[in-house]
Amino acid sequence: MPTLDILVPHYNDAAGLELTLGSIAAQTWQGETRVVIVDDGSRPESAATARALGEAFVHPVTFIANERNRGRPYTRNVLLDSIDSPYVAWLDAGDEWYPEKLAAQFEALARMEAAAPGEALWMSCHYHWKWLDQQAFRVKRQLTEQDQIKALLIGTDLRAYLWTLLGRAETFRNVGWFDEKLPRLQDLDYFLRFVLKRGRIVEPGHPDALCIYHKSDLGRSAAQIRQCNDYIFDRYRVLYNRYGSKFRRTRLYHMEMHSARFAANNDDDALAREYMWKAARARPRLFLRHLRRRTFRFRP
Amino acid sequence: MTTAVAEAASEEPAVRFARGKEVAIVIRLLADRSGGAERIYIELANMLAARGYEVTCLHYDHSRAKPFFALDPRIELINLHPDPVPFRHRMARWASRRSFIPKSLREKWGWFAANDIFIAQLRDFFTLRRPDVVLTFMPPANTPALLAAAGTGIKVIPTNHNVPLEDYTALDRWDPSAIDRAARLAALDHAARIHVIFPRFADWFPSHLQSRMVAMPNYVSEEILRAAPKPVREPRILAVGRLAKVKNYHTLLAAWALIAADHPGWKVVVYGVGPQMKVLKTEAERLGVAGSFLLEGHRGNLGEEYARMSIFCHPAHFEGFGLAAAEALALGMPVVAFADCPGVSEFVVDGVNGLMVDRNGGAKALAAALRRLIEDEALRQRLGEAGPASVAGFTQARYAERWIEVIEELTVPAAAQHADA
Repeated sequence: MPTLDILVPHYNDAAGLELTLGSIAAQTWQGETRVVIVDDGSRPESAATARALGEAFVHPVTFIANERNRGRPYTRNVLLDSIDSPYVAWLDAGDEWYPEKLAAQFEALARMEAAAPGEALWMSCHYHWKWLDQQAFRVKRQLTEQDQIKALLIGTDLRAYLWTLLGRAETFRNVGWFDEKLPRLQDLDYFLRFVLKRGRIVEPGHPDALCIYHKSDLGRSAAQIRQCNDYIFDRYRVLYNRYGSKFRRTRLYHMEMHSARFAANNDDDALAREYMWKAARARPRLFLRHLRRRTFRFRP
Repeated sequence: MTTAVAEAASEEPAVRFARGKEVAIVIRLLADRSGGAERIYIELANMLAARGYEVTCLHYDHSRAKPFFALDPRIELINLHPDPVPFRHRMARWASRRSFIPKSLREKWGWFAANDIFIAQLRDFFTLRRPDVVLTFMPPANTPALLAAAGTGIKVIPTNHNVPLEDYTALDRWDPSAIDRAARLAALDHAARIHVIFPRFADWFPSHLQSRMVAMPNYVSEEILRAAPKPVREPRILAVGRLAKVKNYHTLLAAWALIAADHPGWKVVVYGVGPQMKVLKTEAERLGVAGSFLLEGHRGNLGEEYARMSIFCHPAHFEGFGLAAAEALALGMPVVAFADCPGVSEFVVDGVNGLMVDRNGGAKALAAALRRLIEDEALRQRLGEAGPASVAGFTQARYAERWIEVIEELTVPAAAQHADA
């Protein structure tokens, strides 16, 4: 049995998958690895390329094809259901790990598991954030020594990115299925459930980023993002309430601005203005500060 | 390089990755608390999670400490307490403790400070998460949860772990304010079912609630049952419980002082901690029985103690479920208790598995029963042998099954209920 299952969802991005598989092949960690690719009903030529990439890969690959496009959470559930190894890592097609990622995470996880036996740990890491159409990237740090529920709700210095994680298989199974009502933000819901189930997110103490996120807002529906934020806001309302009304209003403000960014980046200025108006009503001072600092730019 | 290719199943998503029914279990204080109710709370949550329910445990603790007992990692645990507490609630709490403020206002503000946010949080949880069933533990959680659920259609089952008279009317239990005592009983109108430990406890409740009562006794844990009773037992009288007024260990001490000199080979061993530790020690010294009345403090695994000692004495004034007495019976000990002790008299029968003493006889009557058992080994043997069968129904499996019956009955889809009708 392999030591590690690497779970890779794929949808119409064979070039991204090739990049991703290349980064897996370049890992310095030498343990037995199986890669599971679930194609979520891609176009036939894209699915065929993905399958061919799997067949040619250096590690054993299990390739599963959804019979039609079922969406991200369903695909994640198929991946979750396919776990067969004691350890699990996730990597979305299109994103990359740096060669030392798994080695650094396995070493740190073994050390921390020895120090806290029986505790459910997810080993995350710092990462690079790069807009797809730009060359520059920024380091984003995962700061784990804080109230992790509050930090996840804020989503600034502890983000719910599954592709940063390494953990034991049962820690993922215990969280349960991804919520299929969340076509977006299903990972945030999943991380919150993990922490509410007494799991702890940790990072290896490696000073550098260990992976890179190729970010793009293009083609993503701002309205869908807003609906998913609404769903999260309702589902975890008692957590938002816990930190006070100012915190709650500030999170609402950021949800509106988040959707405004997606709308603006997809050239829907009218919708972007609508979300910004709602944001301004939730936290007028914050909105004015945003205008002073960033005008209407959403990208770095 | 091996590539296995499989096609994903074609079921609908809701079927393939379906989640279980959502059960929320509410208690007010859980952080680092090791009492019997907290243990049952955690074990019930674990039992339901193991049977496929999506369980969320809700509590309202100022402390951020973890629960004392281990919670299944599939269960969400949410502390509803705000951090920081809003200014007006802090002020209400402050005002409720000022003696120059009229009592009626103090009670009102105190109740507001203790319950307002708890109720608001529960109401948000109920209306936004829509759990299939909510179970609540003990009056400080029962009342807020029932008030929060009023009008929402959420099915709430308050659980009562003591004698109803004590839980609903006693002035020295829970919040003694008139507001809380009135709300405690009135809120039961919003309950889908009302749990009591024994059927007889249901009789206390008003007639319009009778159709909603469900009786479920607690259980003897499997950990206790792992101990094997010793063929030859030591000459020890065992008592187990919190050293508090309600357990009435002063009467046991007084009884022992009456007979100790006649039975120099025997000792009384008390396991438990509590506010009366010091005063019981002093009293034992004063009565000259400090060497044979042993206050041993907290003990982890009591199974071995039940298995090796000869007589179990439980002089409590009242119990919801006399767990220690049930555990002693399960491991073959005869029990001595007062005949009017609810929660013990439900399963200890005089002359069958123990000796039940008239409380009016006080320490003398208790001493007489203990003396009788000490001096009559055959009687000890006979009563002890009847013990395990008398509590055989108090199992964890039966407890879980009974809860699942109630939950399933409440959560059957309306269409199916109509079809059955």
